[in-house]
Amino acid sequence: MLRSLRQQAEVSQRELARRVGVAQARISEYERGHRSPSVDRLDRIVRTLGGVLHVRAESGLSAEDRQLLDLHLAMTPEQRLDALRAMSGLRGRARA
Amino acid sequence: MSLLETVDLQAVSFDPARILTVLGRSGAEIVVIGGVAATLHGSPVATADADAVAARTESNLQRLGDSLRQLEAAVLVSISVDDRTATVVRQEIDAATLENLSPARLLTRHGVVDVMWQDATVGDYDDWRADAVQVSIAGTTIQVASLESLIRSKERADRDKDRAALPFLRALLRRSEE
Repeated sequence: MLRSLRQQAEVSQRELARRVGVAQARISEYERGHRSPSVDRLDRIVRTLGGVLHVRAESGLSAEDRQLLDLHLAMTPEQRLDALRAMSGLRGRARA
Repeated sequence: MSLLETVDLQAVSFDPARILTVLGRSGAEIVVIGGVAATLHGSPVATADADAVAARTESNLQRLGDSLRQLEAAVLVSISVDDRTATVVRQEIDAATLENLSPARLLTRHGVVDVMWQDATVGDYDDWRADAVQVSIAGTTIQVASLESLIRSKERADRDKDRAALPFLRALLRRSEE
């Protein structure tokens, strides 16, 4: 991904390394997946290439969600569809 | 001849099992995707319609048309902002009608069904079918999108409802791999 971003920006590895302040060999390692940059450095690289880095942290399921999942996993596929139908009915009544 | 009609959605109960049973028995080549597919895998996230990707062959359009007529499908034009009523076009749902609708958004007597030939996240029927799983509903076997494809689709669509569904899908995938 990094390589294609750099190539789209028409920047050489040497030039990118100079602008970011690292050795060209390090950029090459990042592009080949042999080494991973820190988030700060990746952000600097991406911004240098005219892009924007989005980092999204996702939490896992809460204890309540895990219980809900366990409940649904204990059902057969037909029972899961029945539950969905029942939820739909409840939503319909809530609208009325 | 077609006729615009207003339908009271309070009188339409979403019953995905009945929809899938009719589609499955027709032998139509479809893969169930979206929220109903997630439900069949065990996701507790509710959805209000059934989505399917279908093969766009003449014989399949014919089978789909036959099953959708059994479901008394009408072309869905719009749903009111309060979700209470829908405007539909009552017209013959046949192969020619379906071919010109992409996606075909239909209101049946068991709820809304979206049939598409291709979706923007994973691809066409063959792409979804490649790793689909078989699920039996009321003695009928239907093809359901794999968890991997559903996750890929939700990640690419990246709407609020997709992001809400993803933790459950990922947890289901982890559990299936344990």
